[in-house]
Amino acid sequence: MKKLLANLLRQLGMLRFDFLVTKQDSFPQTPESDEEVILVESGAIQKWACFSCPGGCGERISLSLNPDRRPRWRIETDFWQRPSLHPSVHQQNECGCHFWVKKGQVYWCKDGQPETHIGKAK
Amino acid sequence: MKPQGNDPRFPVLIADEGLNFKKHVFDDPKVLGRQLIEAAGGHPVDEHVAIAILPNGDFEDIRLDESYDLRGRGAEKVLVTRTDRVFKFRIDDKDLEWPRACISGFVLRKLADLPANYNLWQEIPGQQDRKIADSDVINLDAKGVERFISLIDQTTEGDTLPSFDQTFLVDHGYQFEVIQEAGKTGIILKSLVLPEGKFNVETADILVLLPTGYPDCAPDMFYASPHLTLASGQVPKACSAQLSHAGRVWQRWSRHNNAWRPGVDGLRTMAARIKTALMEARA
Repeated sequence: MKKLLANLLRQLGMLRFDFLVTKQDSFPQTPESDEEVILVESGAIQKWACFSCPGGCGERISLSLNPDRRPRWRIETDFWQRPSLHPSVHQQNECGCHFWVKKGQVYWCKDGQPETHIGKAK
Repeated sequence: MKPQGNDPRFPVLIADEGLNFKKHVFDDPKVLGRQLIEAAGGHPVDEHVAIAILPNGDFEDIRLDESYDLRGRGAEKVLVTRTDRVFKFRIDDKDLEWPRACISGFVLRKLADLPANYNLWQEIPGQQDRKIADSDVINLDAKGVERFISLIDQTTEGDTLPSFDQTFLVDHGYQFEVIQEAGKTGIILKSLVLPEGKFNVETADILVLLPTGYPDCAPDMFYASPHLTLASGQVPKACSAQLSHAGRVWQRWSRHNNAWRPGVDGLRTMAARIKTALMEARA
């Protein structure tokens, strides 16, 4: 319901986001849609944040949210389920993109945006 | 499986529990589970099981008296092992089974056919998932052990070094390099000026490995390249071990840190400790 409203507000230009969070209790089997960050949460424990690379290479990115491991990330979601990730995400594949996700929006780091990107964010 | 030349014989690779494959040749592409077990020397036959390993990595049981057309399934590999039951589990979306309760991480990886840059994780409901190392032994009989996931290892944190450390290093004129290798972050302080006349060289690179959980946890020892000897030619105390990192061999300075204050200490503390250790180095 909230998602519908969020999408409506985005169409009206009143809300900005590239990603919204969907929660799930086990690791996603099928690839997520382009506009989804799947937050794998089992019990009270956040485990993974999974989404498609915004660089357009189509690779899936799975970030470990385990605080006792490296690399590790933190995720926060706001009222509209827009995710913020910390720290930034740096892909080591050919795509090589490097970006932040803040309030559901992708912010590219300097030299972090591949040329073939699919027109996300600024 | 193709017949070879005019001689219509069909080779099959049969593996034991260690996944050591041996070639066996059959006259007929249709074999009974019993025949496969006998070929592999399994005795008594009814205490063994034959499992076809399909080209996509899935497994399929072959019953003892089932006539199994190996060509039809494209299966050229069969696992034969002694068992009275099998343990079923999934790696990603593949259904696999194993005839023993215990399996090593190494064999799991082999079954999953993982490229080297993939990691295998065991999904544990209600807890953090566990990364599986080759040497780990997993008990497939334990409750909830049924799902494993494989993930490519190609994503890093953009800023591995906390910003206060970056500020400290830059403000104090350190030349440094951050190197990620095998999941470990190392900071190389470049051409650090050593106490005058104390060592065989004037400057050296110093490596600090950041432990998991840094900066809440303390870096332990530090490492020098090139190897340092005192002006007298002697090796300093507790400096005889070596470490390979970032394509270089480093001299380990075994100096331990017992007083780390989480939230306060950082590379500033470490740099001070390194300076002290170098000043105080004795044979």
